[in-house]
Amino acid sequence: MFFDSFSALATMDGHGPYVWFSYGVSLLVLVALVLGAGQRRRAVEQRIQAMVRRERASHRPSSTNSQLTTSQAAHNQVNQGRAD
Amino acid sequence: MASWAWFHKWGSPRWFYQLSGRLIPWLAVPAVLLLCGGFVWGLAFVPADFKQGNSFRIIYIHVPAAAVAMGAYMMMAIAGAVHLIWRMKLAAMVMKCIAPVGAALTFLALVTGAVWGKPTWGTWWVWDARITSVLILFFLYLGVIALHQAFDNRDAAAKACAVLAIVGAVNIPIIYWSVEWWYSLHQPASIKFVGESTIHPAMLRPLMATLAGMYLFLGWMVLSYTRAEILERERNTRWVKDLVGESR
Repeated sequence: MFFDSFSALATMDGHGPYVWFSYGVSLLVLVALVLGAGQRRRAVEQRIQAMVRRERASHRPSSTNSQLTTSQAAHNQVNQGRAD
Repeated sequence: MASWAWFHKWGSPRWFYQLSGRLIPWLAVPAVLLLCGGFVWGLAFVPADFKQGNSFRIIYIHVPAAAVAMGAYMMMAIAGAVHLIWRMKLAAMVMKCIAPVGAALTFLALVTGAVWGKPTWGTWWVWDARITSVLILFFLYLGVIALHQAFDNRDAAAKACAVLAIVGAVNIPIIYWSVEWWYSLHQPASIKFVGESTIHPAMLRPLMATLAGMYLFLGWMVLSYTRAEILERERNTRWVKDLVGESR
């Protein structure tokens, strides 16, 4: 290391506050960008999942003839999966 | 023609989403290694500057932030032009996603520059050509972000922002050559592409590392934000619903 000690690294002959403030702000901004990307991604996923849930709920068959209809629906879903 | 097929693939958000997913680790990991390694190296291991002492160490964040902020703006302007010419919606998405990242980097360049200026020049701010034109770059980025929000219609927003991005691109060569054209407090280029650089090699090497790291970081961020944008815009397609739609 160029400096004699860690305290010398911290003070940098008087320039410490300038240098460490700059790096501190920079790290904050860069980390905020990374976290922001994750946050944006999660927000979009949540909106899409809510939308898909609403669509599935509106396609659900009515409560009459429930036994026949739900097994038919399950059969259709299994076939849909195989077609991909 | 094979070349047209290749070009048309870029019109497919799904293809871009899959490709970018594979690329991101190759950008993110080297970016973090180069940035962290370069910062530590520049902060603790490089000798102090003969004239400036230790304050010069700010160079390892200031120069990459400024350089990549300028490069990102050119990419944003090019994406805007591609969208206007070829009506490629993916280009509009990329353009939109570069703006906040570029704005953050320009902000960093301005702040670290001001902090570096205080012990070096005795002032936090001076209205010289380079510093003023970088401030204008910051306002241009903010302008693109604000203009996007101002429209209800996404296509109109993309068109307007593309025009703003392209018109503002004239600022980039001005920033670059300002230190040659006008008497500036900001020092002229030390890194020369042709001939000997005036910066000492021991100081230059960590700068190359953080500069490369910052470009990789830009790529990582733009791809990440664009992927979220793709999911949002393509949410009514089968592939997005299958990918994301599972309730946890």
